[in-house]
Amino acid sequence: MEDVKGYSGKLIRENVLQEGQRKDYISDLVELNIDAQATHEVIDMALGFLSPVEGFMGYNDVQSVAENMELSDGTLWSIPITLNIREEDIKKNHLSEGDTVLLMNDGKAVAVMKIGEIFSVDNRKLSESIYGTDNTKHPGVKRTMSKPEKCISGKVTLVSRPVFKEPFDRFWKTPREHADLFKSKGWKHIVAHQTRNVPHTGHEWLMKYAWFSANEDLGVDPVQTGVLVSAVVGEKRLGDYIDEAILLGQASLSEAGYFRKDVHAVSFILWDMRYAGPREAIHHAIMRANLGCTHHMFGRDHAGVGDFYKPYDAHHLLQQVKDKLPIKPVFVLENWFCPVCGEITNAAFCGHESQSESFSGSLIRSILLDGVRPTKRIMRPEVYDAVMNSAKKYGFGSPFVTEQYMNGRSRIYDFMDMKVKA
Amino acid sequence: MTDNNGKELKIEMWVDEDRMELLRKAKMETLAKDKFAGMKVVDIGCTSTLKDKLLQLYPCAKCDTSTTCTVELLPKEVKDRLFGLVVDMRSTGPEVLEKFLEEIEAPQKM
Repeated sequence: MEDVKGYSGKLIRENVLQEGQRKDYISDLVELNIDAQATHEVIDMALGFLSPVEGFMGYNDVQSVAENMELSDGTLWSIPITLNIREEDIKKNHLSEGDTVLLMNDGKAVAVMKIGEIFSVDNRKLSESIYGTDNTKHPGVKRTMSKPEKCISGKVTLVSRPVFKEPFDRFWKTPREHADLFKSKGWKHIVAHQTRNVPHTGHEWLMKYAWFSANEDLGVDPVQTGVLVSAVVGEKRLGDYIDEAILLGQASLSEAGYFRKDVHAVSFILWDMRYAGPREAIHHAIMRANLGCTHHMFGRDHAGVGDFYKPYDAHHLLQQVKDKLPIKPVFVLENWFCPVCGEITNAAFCGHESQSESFSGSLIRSILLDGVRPTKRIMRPEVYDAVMNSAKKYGFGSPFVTEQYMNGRSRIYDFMDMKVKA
Repeated sequence: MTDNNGKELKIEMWVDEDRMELLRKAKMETLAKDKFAGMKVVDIGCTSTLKDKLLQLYPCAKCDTSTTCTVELLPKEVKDRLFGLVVDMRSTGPEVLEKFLEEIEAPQKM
């Protein structure tokens, strides 16, 4: 594997304990339980997805990100990465700055961390800065406000690499592995399509037009531009598509030849959506830049929720910081099926808006919920088959997250069982 | 058959080839209307009272009163049974929903 630089120019390092180090190093450490979100962030930081951030942020970085949208060294950064901890856990474990702790999740050793600082944050102020609101109807605000206001900072080192279960193992790649993938495909430009959806033909159309935009002046012989479908895998809400259907549905587009395999790839990042709209768009740009992507698609209401943000707020913020952005944004308009044009088109081209048939998420959802095969104009038959097969195999019969899925789903990855203490 | 805004409340049933065949057999195929990119739907009439009963029974469902005036996100087994009743009763009126609710509530009365 070659050295790979992250978006800030710093080399991406994979911070994982060597096999021989593990048991001796961790056996006497104080154990701290962390939740799934923090575990995702530990994996992201240790493997370079969040480069140059290699550990939970200290006070200055958190304040600087909140107030100025940059790390304390001036690097563009939009979402604080904090490890919140209850005051009683600090006291119970006699934690002090300089201590090294073992971060645990679900009974497994995840990472070691030397505590840099123990400090307090104001969750309400943070919410106002990051989400533009302190309204707890916003799911990101709700989550932030529910966390303790004490934090600990420190660089994290994974105890072992996460091992992903089927079918996630087919799609998991670290930033360095993405670099290898892009090199093997001969890609010079890579446009990221961020998704939490199974692909309908509207999505496919957007990706294909984004390819042209990202290809710029590269020429077409040979083709050196690729589309990376970068799914976000994290906390699920009832009614979301199940991750397996998203990944397998997206992959079926090239398996069935709707994209050539040499211009299309599917992978995922571990990230719990904040629904922070414009700020989260910048964060997504940073993560995809760390994967080696040169371009990133941003659609209507990117990473938004409800009516907390205007449809193109994210585009406007991205334009404001474009000189610092690590990636070129490809702005895409809402598209629709036009019965007059007889094709999928969008607001920039089509003059028959009053007759347009929108690809609304709830409409596609209702078709799939009925278990009715959509027409080819809406969804490729191979995609539908992949989605419904995933529903049977992984979703307890549904392509959507249900209570049964929430309760019955096993963890998608695991860590080595260290049996730390007898 | 209207909600507070005066719009008709309905449940949209998507129609694929299998469902269209059932409609043809019942000579009801003309009830399937073009909806989106070649997809067809059959609308089942609903009332405010029936909608409330449905939402109580199926909290996962919701009623979009602002735009489409439809009861959405009902479980597949509910939609399948409703479609069966449309064909059996040769009707798309609110009596289909009334019959469905009778069937659902019947065992609970025993």
